Amino acid sequence: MSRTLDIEILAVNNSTLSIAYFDILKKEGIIPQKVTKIIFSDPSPKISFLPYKLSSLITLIVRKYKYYRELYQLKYIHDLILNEKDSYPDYYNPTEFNTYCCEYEEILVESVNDKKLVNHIKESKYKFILITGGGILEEEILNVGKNILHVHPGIVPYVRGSDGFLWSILTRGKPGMTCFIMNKGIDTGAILYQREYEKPVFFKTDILKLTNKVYEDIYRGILIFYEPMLRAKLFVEMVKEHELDLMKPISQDINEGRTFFKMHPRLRKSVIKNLLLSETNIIQ
Amino acid sequence: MTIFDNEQINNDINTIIERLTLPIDYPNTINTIKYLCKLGRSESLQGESYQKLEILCKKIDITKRLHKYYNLSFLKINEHKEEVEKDAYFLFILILLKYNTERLDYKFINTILRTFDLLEFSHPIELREALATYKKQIDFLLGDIR
Repeated sequence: MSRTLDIEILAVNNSTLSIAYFDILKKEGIIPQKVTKIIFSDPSPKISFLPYKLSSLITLIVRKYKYYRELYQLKYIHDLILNEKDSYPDYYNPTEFNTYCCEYEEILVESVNDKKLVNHIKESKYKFILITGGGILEEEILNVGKNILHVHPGIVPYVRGSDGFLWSILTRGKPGMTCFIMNKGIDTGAILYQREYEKPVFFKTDILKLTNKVYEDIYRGILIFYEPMLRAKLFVEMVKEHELDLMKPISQDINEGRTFFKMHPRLRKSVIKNLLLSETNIIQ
Repeated sequence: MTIFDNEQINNDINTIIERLTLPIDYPNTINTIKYLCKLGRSESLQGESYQKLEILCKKIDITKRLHKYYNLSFLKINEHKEEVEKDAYFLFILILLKYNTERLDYKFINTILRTFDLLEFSHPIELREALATYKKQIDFLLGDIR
């Protein structure tokens, strides 16, 4: 049986996080009232100083390269990780956003802080808006009087900031997810729901044969495959258990906990190596 | 049993502090090198000192550099954008190591690794051996994978 969810989802085009949200919402029969697909303008504003044709070509090449690299990393991690298999989103045949909502819109923007997006959010009739990735939002967006939801890969306040998935494993032994209402601080918004999950389980791997590139592929694979799935799972668990309107957000003490930054590749490798060496892993 | 040799770290801190040229003070500014020297000499890291050390870690983790001066809110000052010298980075590593002697703080270890990257190709010859030793110890702690 399906039910509608009184929310607007701002879904970033072609992101695995958006795909994960839609796939898992669909599996659970939860239909968002409104979906707005965010399409980033072409060419990328970062190289807009170049002649138009050249910058368009560079943008196209970079996107194609990223796309094929992601496909490779997705496949790699898909075959390597064993647990949560039933929840794996189908990244290869994603749900078309416009086919799984009551109301649909597309918006072309230069960045997440584009004026067009600010106005769009201001005019939205929905009290709750979920943004599926895209960068740090400016205060103007956060002050429009809506509850902008974000699922962060870490149990806040203990794990705030970047690379939350790996920092959670390193400092707390398992990945954790938190859904909170965004405010101007980094991951300091009022908490709606949070929980921890089991560590990913891998096929037993001969780590001596792994090169640095493989470690990087596993890291990227976790970021684009496994982490989005857990974020989406947490969100869906939350809306299945609670009515968003009736939830009581819990404010964070900003002096409590810690903000982590991007993990150094050396430390990252160590965390991934420990995941690969875990006792719970299975021999192929 | 400590993770890193506290006595050795303190000796290295003193050696570095003696070598450092202390920049002149300006009103309403934080003199980073002087501040690092103060942290290097202090026995404990609590309250405000800890918070400031976290801010310096953030500078390295995000901007990959330390400036000689910051304003009182620890923001960069446009008139004083000079970077600290290499010895100061080494002092910073030693301070972070000092607070890792009893138990591992991976956030500090992360910043140490980033600071090592800054020194990789340009650290003063006299420090190479000491740096290499600490680096080896960290590599050992993290598991020696290449």
